[in-house]
Amino acid sequence: MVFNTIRFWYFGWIDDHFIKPMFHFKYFGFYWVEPLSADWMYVLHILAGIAAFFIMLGWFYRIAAVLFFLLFTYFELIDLTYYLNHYYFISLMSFILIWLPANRYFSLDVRFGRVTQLPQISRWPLFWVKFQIATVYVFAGLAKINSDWLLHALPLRIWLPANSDMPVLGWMFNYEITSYLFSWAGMLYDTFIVFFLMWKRTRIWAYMAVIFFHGVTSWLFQIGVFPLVMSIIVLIFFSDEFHQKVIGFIQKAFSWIRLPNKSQLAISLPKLKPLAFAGLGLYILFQLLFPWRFIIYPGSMYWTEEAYRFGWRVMLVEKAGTAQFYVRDGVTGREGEVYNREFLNATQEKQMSFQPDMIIQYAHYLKHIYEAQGVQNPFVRCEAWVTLNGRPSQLLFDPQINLCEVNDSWQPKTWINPLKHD
Amino acid sequence: MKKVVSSVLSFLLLLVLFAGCREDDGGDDQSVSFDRAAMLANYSNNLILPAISDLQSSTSELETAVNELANNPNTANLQKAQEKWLIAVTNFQFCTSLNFGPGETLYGSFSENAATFPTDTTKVSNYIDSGDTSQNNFDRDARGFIGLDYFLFRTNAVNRLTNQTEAAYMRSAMRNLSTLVNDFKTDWDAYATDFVANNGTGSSSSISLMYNTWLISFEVIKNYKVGLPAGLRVGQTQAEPTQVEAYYSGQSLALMEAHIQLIENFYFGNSLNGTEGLGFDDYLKASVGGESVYQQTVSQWNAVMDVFNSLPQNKTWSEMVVENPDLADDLYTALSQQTRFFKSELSSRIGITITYDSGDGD
Repeated sequence: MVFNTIRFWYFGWIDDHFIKPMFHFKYFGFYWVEPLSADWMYVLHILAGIAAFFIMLGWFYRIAAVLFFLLFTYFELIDLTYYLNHYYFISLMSFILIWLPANRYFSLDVRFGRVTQLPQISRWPLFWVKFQIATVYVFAGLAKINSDWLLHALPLRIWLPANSDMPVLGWMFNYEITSYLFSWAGMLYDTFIVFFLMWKRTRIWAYMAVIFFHGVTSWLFQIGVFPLVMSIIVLIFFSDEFHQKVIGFIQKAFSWIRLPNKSQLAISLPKLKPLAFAGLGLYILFQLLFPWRFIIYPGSMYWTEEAYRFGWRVMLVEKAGTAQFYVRDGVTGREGEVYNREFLNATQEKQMSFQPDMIIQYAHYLKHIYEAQGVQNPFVRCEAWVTLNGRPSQLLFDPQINLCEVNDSWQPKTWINPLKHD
Repeated sequence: MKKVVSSVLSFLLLLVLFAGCREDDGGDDQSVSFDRAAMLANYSNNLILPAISDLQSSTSELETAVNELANNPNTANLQKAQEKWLIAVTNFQFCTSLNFGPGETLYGSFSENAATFPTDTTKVSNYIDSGDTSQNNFDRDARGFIGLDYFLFRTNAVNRLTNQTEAAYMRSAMRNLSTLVNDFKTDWDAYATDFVANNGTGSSSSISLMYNTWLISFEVIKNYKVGLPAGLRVGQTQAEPTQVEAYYSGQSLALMEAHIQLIENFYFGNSLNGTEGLGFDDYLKASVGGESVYQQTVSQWNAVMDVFNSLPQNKTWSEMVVENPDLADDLYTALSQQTRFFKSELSSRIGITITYDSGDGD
């Protein structure tokens, strides 16, 4: 995560994502989250980087973990445009870290006597982390069991040929059979990898599959730090002895960090109190149920985007749209087209063009902007043509609706046209 | 354990074969290969480099004529400069989408630097009054091809150039423009090899860069060359005839025609002399569901051309937006309906990555 913070800085994303845009798409329920001034955004990113570094050292661990969780989640909540499942995952993991005794063995907190060392930990912290990793993979795998992915190899049939310049594997991507192979392998990998990692006898092979899978996807797609994060984090499935060896190795390099002898160690383990147990249970229940909420919405989730986010639905759709907004003066009746580039950056426009909740937010923003510029009683409408996984484009909704009168909510968006060619 | 692994593997194999056999709506054969390097070579050799070469030579001729006019303002010299201007600025239209690579600088894009419109005559007067001919500023709307439109076509053009400071300013604007164009040619000649070699589809690939600036260039026609003068932008209450591209010469429609031709050439991969080559259209046709999108794109493009070709020949564009608002409206609507075919329909199907940000492919 230290690396991720530096990466954001290096690519100029702090500026592009948080400072330059004049408008930010908000998360439902988090409309109050606003970016701070440019200087503050940089200061907070430095702080987040330092916090991540302290977590790594296990120094002032708990404060660092709380700080990192709050800052990282804050950055994510500023603009919905940049929502990624793996950032959600990092937020969740950093939340989990707050509660774990991860500084109680090999850490500067132990070294400087800020906490007493624990020789072993209870089962629940490991279970919690493994559970979270498992949800990511299994849900991602289950989500791939759909006709587009398995029977039509979409969107891979669009994405792979575009990468035919990749060394070694590239030539295969020009054959459709490769897309099918990758689709099925991807589904099986995601669904079952965790179980193979759990089982000692298949673990090492499973881990090699992890490295291969994330290596290839990292090369093929613009997916940032996710492959790196996952490749390292799944090591938690490995045995105690393995981790002891790793720690031993690091210890040689930093010999001044001394671990107490086994005899000095206290044996009593902190037990999970009933309240904490209930909290953990609720968390797990939420993680298990929330991704399934699409079931209660009518229509295709891939089309309406209702219940799509926070569901570990990754790499599933090639979706794009062109959304042209028109604002009509309610008094003079004169209508003009909005130039989206004046208000949104390229990523914002691209993401907004096919996501109904973002379209509503943007329409309300336009109403506000043009009212201030003297357009009376603005009527904001939008013609949004969207293509999903290579299907012919269709209108996302009736272009004559006044979007000023539509509000976002948990209710099904009945104004969205159903997906044809399902 | 072995049993489990082998049964999973054979299950996988069976399913793949099964799925592979079922799938035949993809058409022709199993390969969907498209030679992107050949497409880029076509763009570079037949569309881009010849257009820049034409632009450079005609700008150089324009410079000679403008300097002659500045030294010796008379009607014959003015007419000569006007002719050279029209040739050069028309050639410029065929380079106006090349705002990437050497066309993208810290000081703005090539087309902004060469031809921002409309000209701000107040700024021009201020520079002339203060005798500032350095051109060392960001007022691109006080020089360039469109600045010359003002100097060469305003009323009393010859008379006003007898004023030494006016002539000096025009000369400096011309020098600034020809330096810009010469550098652009030198840089492109050096960049062309990289351009063809960078044949991926990522956000910094040649295809993505070229596609993005081409799309923006199309939107410039729709939004700024048609929409703005016609008063079709939100908040405008009427047509604004002085907002056209070349107000003083009244050549806006001729320039727009060339610009539209550029958009068409790049879509089809057609060379300047109309020879067909590998282009976005062929790439689209090789993609999933591309053929039908291609048909729709062409049919909408024909509709755009029909409207454009039906515009009356005896009026300038600035007259038309006032006198025939419905024609301007029709053209705008046709271009508007074209947008999605050039925008999402094309980029999504051929798998071009448009932005640098990490995507939802996680």
